[in-house]
Amino acid sequence: MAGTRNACGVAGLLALLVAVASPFHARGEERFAAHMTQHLLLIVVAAPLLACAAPGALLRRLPLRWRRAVGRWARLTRRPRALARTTGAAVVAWVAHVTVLWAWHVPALYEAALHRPWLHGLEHVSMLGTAWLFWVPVLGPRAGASLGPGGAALYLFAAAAQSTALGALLTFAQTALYPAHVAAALSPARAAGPAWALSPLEDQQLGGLLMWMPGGLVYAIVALGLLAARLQAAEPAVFPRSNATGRLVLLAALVVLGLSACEPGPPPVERKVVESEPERGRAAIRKYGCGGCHVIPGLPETRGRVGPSLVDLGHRPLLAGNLLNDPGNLAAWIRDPQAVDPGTFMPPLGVTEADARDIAAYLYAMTGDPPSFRERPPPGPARP
Amino acid sequence: MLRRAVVPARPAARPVAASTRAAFEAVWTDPRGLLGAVRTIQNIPISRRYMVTAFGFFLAAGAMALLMRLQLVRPHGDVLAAQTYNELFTMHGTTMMFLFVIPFLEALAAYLVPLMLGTRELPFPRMTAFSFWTYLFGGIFLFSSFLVGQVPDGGWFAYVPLTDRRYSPGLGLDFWDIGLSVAEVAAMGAAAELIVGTLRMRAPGMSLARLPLFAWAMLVTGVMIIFAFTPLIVGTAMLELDRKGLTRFFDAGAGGQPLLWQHLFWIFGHPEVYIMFVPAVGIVSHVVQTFSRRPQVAYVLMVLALIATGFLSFSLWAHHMFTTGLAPLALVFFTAATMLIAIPNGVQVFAWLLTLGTGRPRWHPALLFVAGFVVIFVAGGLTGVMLAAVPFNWQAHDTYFVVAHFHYVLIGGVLFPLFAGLYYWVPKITGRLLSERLGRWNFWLMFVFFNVTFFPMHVVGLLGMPRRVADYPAGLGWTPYNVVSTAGAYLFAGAVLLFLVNLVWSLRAGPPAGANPWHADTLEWAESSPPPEAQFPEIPVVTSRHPLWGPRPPGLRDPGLEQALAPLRLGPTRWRGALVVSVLEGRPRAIVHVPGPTVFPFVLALGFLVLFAAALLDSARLGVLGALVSLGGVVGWFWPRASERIALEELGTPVPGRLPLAMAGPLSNGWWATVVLILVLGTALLTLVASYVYLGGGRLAWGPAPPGPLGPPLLATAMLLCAGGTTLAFARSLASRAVWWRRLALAATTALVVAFIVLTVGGYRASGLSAAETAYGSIVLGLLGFQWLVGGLLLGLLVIAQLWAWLGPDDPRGHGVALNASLLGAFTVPSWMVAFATIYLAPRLG
Repeated sequence: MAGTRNACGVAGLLALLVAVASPFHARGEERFAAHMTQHLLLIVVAAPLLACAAPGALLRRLPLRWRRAVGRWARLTRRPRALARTTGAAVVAWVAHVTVLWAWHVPALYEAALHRPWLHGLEHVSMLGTAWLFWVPVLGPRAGASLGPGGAALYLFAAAAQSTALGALLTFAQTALYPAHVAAALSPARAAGPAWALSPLEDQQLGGLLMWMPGGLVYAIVALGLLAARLQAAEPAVFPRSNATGRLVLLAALVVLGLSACEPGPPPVERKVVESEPERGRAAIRKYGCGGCHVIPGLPETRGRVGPSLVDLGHRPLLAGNLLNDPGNLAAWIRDPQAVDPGTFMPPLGVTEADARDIAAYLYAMTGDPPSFRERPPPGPARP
Repeated sequence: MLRRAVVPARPAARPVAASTRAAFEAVWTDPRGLLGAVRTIQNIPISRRYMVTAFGFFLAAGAMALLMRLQLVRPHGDVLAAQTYNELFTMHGTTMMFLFVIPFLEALAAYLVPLMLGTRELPFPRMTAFSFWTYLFGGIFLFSSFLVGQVPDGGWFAYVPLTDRRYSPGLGLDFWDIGLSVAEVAAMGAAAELIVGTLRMRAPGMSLARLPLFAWAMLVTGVMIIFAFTPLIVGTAMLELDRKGLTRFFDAGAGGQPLLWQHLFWIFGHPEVYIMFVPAVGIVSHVVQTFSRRPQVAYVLMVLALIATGFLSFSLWAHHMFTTGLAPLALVFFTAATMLIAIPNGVQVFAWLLTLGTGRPRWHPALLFVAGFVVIFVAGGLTGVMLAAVPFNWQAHDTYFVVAHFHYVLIGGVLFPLFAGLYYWVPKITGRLLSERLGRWNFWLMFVFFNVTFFPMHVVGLLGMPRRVADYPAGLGWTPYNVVSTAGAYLFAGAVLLFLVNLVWSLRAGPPAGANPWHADTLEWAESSPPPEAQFPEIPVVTSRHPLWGPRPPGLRDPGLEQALAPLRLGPTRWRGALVVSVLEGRPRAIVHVPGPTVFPFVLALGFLVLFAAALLDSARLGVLGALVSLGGVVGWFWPRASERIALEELGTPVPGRLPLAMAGPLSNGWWATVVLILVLGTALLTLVASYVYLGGGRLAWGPAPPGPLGPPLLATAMLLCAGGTTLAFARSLASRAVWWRRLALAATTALVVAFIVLTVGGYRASGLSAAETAYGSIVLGLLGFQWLVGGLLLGLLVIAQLWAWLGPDDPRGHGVALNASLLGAFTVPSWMVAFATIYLAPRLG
């Protein structure tokens, strides 16, 4: 048992290494999904494995004098440590972990962390730390002291529920919530990137889905594993039986833990800060007040409901119901809607040719390339 | 196979006086006569009525399906008007889901689970009766729409905007909304009952590791109902408020989101499929085990599969919404998760096949129905995997292919196991055997004609025939399939009726069943058929997973246990008493008082019916009448009973070695009921917060401006925190015997909660928001209204506790209510914190 726990500790340290000292971290500054993968590595892979570890066993290798010092320390802290094993302490750990988790997803805090390395460090330390506190009552060497098996199941299922809720909210959000990731996606380098690169909204959805499904599953599988162990131990077998069940459950848990760590980030892209077309497009959208009638991705202040929401523009085959969706047509439509669809409610706002192209570039950068564009790389001239 | 009667806790050597036995039986006997019929609250008679009523609704819904098939037998059929057709498919689906399957399964469980667990009653018998009456009244309410000719016609899913007040004027959808809410409340009450009953009220030694699989299944089902029905209740409440013009949750013109309804509906709707299927798994496991004559293979894996099914079912709802324009990436994940659920289902199917394969099966009709279930359900599962693939789903959406798929899953996965369960357990319920020959005919005819009815629908669906349309053109090659389907439907109905023939024959001429006709292993077969009203006069002691199989284990005559259980041996004789055990190990923990016959659950349900009619008709007079009747019901419900005082006199003083009497605190059932209530409220709060964020398109700050000044809500927060403090003070004061301190703490808590409600109402008024004009105003009012609802519930409990602290004797029962109130009070604080942060802090954070 001690061997297993030591192995868990080593695996946890490895997972920690992968989370903070691998491309995940660098990618995470640009890509929301990569950032979420990194967080998941911290809170549902590294933290539970570290919580399993029993570093106490290592103490036996220390010189006698050091061990005595540790013993004195242990005697002094007996009361507080006993307090830490109560149900109340477990509930506090749960609440603390969930609060930390949700707080760091508030756009203002999230952005602040991306821009200040020390705050980013604090983000990761607080996530890992509270996650470790969260996992100790169910997986630690003295698991069972603070929560009974029923309590542990409820504790874990509640955690899975909040993870699902946060993931679902990010998945179904209709705008890109984090401007830093939008800016990264808008950099011109993205155009040189691979064709399957995600739009900011898709990136956010992927992050949410990773948290929702693989993330939520880890809690459920640990809960099921604990329950299985308990049921097996409680009732002697009526018929001879191999230990296959336990092994299967363990294997499944490991596979899922492994899978949740396997999500690849996108390949490295060079970031250049130049004023790009899409950036000008964003300014143009503000200038012409498009948000009065449309919901526009990446511009949280836009919530017009008169015209259609533009969040999935890149996925639509047609514009205005009769034009093929490509950059030239989009620019033409923006410049003079009445020429394309006489009687449409969309007013001619006197958009210049250059502004219209910039706006089109912005919209596609945010919502993915249009279907017709994928087949025809050079943007064609506007069709009448 | 060795077979033994259940081992009594105490050897029969010491006889009990005949008068004691008579007195014990008298206290458990139900009242007779017409008044007695509405006063009865015991689980056996109530669940029998429940099952009969549900079966009646099943036949009614089946008759509607037959009418629809008649309409479709040829192109341009003129049997039904299109409007009538819409009404029939709406009522067919709604009735089958809400008035037949779930109530029937819950009633079967209410009958069987206490027997299987070796206990005498469910934990909240008044709740059992209340659930039945609300369910009956809700069903009658829904069907009374036929009388006034305003039948719901929006489909069983009632999508907005079709069902909002612009496009569905009239009362039809209001009947649907309100009738459904009543049935949901009944289902949630029964679920709470099953959860607490399974966890707490069992025979000594019945640990969780020895729980029969049907009890496990119903435990999982109960938890799923609690978490799935709550979002639906929130959703139907929003829809009804929208229809009354009070709010604009789903109105896109006011910033609302029609898709929010679909999310709320399917967060319920997908788990609903498994809420129906999981009990079927439990039934099938018992039938397979008994008729294979060996223990179920892989018991632990079966339990895990049940729980995993329940968990996964909450992540799948969006696969009902593949064509609503969700993000393509999300669809990929939902497809994967949908396929994941095949793992636990596969575990179950293989475990049954292995049990059959390694046992010595006896092909009783019950086992035949199980075999039919496996075949049909696997076929339905395969079309399910097809539909989980997004491109195929887009093609087959809203065609008869989907109709075929879900009838294969529901009839195959639920109705066939249910009939297996009927053939298995009806002899226990009626005391007479059913005819096996008729049963075999019943199975084969149902199996064949089921496939004749529904298999052609796959083909005609692939040919493009749409669902929910009363008419179709000739010349598309659809007619022959429809003719076959219709013929099959009528023959299938005849095959179903054969069961009734069998039942009538059995009641008139069936041979007596005896206690255990199948040599089954679980405790419901230990007692006579039908079971005695007291169910277990001698408390059984369980020492293995199969109490009626195998040799008698040594070391049972434990004098300590004997002494602990002494008051329950053919007793108590002046009140109904039952045993409460520890959740995990099933160790005896306490004796509880179980309420006897009372009319007040019926009165309360009647009051609810009047209230709902008032909501339907917008009638204030009816509303006042309903409120008065309900109030009478609640007061009568909580009024101290003579039997409680007697129980306190007999067992109130603790005696070393004997079990204590639990009337308050964590050992009492009421405390556990409060915990379940808090889970329900927590789920509702989460639903409202998620709706808030969803309506804002994923943003927290989406309102026109921060709603009003921070002063009043901050003050309200302070009030609530103080109330939390005073409830804690109250709980502490129970240990010391200072009555005046207790009264003071309760009065202070009441005053603080009232102040909290007044301040939050004031805060809402000051914000200048209007729920009737914008979706933002609606959801803010929704979040605040929820706090007022919780506060109102808390005030109700506090008032009852006050009555006891001031007027009653210094009685633990009063403390029970007050302790439950302090538990609920502990919930109000975080609940308000979440609402406060969402409404007032988030807009300021940006």
